[in-house]
Amino acid sequence: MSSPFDWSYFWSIAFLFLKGLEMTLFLAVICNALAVILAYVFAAAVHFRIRVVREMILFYVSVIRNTPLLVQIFFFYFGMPEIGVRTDPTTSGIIVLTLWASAYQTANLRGGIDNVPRALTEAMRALGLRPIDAFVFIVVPVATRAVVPAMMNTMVSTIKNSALLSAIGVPELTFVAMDNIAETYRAIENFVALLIGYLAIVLGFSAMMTSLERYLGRGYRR
Amino acid sequence: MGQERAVHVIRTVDLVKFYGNVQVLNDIDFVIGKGERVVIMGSSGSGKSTFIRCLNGLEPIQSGNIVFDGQDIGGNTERQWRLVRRRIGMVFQNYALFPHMNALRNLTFAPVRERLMTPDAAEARALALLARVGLADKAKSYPAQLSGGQQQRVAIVRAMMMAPEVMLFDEPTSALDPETVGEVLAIIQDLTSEGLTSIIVTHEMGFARQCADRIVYMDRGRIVEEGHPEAFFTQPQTDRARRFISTHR
Repeated sequence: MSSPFDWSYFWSIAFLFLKGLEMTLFLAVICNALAVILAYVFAAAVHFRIRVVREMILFYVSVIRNTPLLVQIFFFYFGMPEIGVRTDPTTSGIIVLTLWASAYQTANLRGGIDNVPRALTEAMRALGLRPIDAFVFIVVPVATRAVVPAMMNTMVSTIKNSALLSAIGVPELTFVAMDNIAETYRAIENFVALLIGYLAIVLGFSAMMTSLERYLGRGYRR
Repeated sequence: MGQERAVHVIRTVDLVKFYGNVQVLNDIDFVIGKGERVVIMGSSGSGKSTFIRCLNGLEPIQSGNIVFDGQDIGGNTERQWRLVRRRIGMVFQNYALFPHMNALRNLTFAPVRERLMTPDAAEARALALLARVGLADKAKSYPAQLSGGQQQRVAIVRAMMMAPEVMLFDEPTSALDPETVGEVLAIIQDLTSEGLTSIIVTHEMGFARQCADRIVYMDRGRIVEEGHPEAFFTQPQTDRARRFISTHR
């Protein structure tokens, strides 16, 4: 009846996939950007030992890192409305994925901050630098450089994990594919397109991060 | 008090420091006058590094006084120490330059950030000092691009940027290879020759003998002996000092 791989069908779904791709890209950029910003704020609060706030952040990081993302998505989308917090799938998705990513990014950053050499910290104190200046201009850049590979891994995971948001109906790449399959029963073309879509986004992201790493690494090479 | 200010820049009285239950400094009474160059010697573990780290508050003390410019700063809070540290420069064993800033920015960062100098003034002073230590062409180099000796020279200049009243050198040549020790010591001698009060912890006998106005010899957290370098090296008063000198020659 039909050939193993129907090229004309494959091209016919391209437009739908572009819409899904757009949503996935949007999630990737928004969630990763917000997560990194939040992570710096959280890491700073932990670093400066702001009372109670520090404990709350450590608790949040622990909860997020030790429970499945899918459960977190369901909890937020299906559980929260019962206590009056009702949001549409896309907003829910952005919130949960951002909080998920920022927990990991906070952990990454804390690792980098804890590993800033003691000698450097003492040099900053000996110069009479204000703690906030020392943190912003010395600790953060030195720590960031050390954890760029780890942060990049988390960003890639965030992009790939956005696929889980299809479970609550966020119209991203995976949702589009599953929708197409439900309608036409053509699986192979949709999954091939899906893999190509994710591959393109993740490889593009990786290239950007590599050049950022090179920029941050200037001066470290002889 | 006014009289004292004229004589002593820093004075410690019965300084006591513990690491946990271990007492590392035992009733240290120490005085340094304006323009004096004091070398502190002693075997490792004698407390000499810990002692100078107490003088700018990097190590908290348990009891005793530190009098700087007529004021007791021993009980300072970290915030109060910050202001003291602008007036007391410190050079570390491992240079501790900021790896993501070039030499020039390493020098200008703190004074400009703390609004003690304008960027232009800081840069002019930094370039002049770099030239003085023979690194005029390295202003744009990053620490990783400099040798150990060059990094330490930049670190010395960084500590001197804010024209401190006292300089503390914590084993400034211990991490250097033998060929570069001399160049760094020569720089320290040059920069402190114009009456900059300085306390130098070092194992370099030749330097101590040639440059110090006074040697302070520490052992097991106490000042055991002090005096003019000639007297210290030729006629040490204690067995410990005698043994120390003979093993370090």
